[in-house]
Amino acid sequence: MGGIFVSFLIGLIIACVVVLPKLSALKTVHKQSGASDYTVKDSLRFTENRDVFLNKKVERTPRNTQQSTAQRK
Amino acid sequence: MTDANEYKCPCCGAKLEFNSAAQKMKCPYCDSEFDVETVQDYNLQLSEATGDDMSWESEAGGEWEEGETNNMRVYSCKSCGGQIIAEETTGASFCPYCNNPVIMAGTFSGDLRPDLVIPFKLDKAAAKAAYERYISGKSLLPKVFKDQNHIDEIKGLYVPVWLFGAQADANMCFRAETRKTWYDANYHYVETSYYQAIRKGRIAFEHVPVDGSEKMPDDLMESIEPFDFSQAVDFKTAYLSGYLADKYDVSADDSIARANERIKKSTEAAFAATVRGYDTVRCESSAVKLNGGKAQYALYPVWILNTTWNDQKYMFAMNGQTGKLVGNLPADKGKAAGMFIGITGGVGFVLSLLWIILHILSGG
Repeated sequence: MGGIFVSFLIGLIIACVVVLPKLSALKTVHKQSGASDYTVKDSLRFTENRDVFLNKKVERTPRNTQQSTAQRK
Repeated sequence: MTDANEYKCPCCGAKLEFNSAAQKMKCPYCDSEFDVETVQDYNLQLSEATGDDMSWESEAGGEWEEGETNNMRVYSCKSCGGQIIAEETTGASFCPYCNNPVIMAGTFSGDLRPDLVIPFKLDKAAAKAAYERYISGKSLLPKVFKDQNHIDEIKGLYVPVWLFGAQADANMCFRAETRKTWYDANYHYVETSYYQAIRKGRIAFEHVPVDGSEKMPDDLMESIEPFDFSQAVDFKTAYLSGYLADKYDVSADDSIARANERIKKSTEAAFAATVRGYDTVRCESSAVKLNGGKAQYALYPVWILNTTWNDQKYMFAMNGQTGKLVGNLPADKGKAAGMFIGITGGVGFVLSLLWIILHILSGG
């Protein structure tokens, strides 16, 4: 039963990929998000441009060795 | 009552119109073409020579009651003498009696005079062709809309816009992270390095347009951007001949907020794009300050197409310079639902069948 459910789920995803762009093509009126078309070319100048290292953190989690062994088999 | 300007052909006396293809004033009757400046000078001389015998026209306005024309202006057509009643923001129109193009020069005089205009490059036929292309190939558009649909009206309109230019000084801080993972026999390791990226600097913007007309929907106007500002020319009323035009009714001060919003967003995006080489980046603080801001008043060319379907009005706009056409179309909801169910069911059925066959073959 799980396989059939997954099959229809894949169908649903493909339907979304096919139909939603077709629907959005009917709506082309929207506000502009910014003004990038009106940036003066090469006008971006930095007075300060630096990246500062703050700290480092290492997290350690135990491996599931049984599962790893099973996968290798 | 005010006189409405017309531009007469020096050859035959007919009314000249601005021809978007030739970028000249053209006579629709004798096909003569003239430079905009030549026509302006010619008609100026004509008007100066005959300017003192029109006083009777100004008395006709007395018939209107007080307050009745608060938001209206009454003009007199120089060709047929017909009375043209228009909103006070109307800058160019057509005489309803003789259909000659008229320009309400007073609308664009003095402080109200636009600094610049982008002349129309595309004509009405191009707008109609663009619309036909636009509605073709859209499978979820109702078929009856395509078959029964007729454009009610196509009009060339000069839309008033405010153009904002400024230098944006920004001070931004970003929090950035890089991640490295590895493992040994017993553990998984995730090493996260934290950085602060500091960006201080400036970026310049010019000619950021904001719709200056209340009647024109802002989102429709922004959807047909960008306009090529390099083709803008000094404003001359002759460019309006043969088109509709409105004066602004949204002031520059009232338009600043929208320009600021767009400039701030693009400034932040431009600065953020320089923070590279990290797995995640997020903005921690941002301060944008504008310097040297200035505004210009311009007219942009737009073809407006109106249609009605199922008692609902649909409005389309085409950039009169680049030909970009936009407008929301109705969706065939039944067809969309059918397509959705069909694909889901079809793909689901085929994959289920494959799964069952594989399951049987593997002896499950």
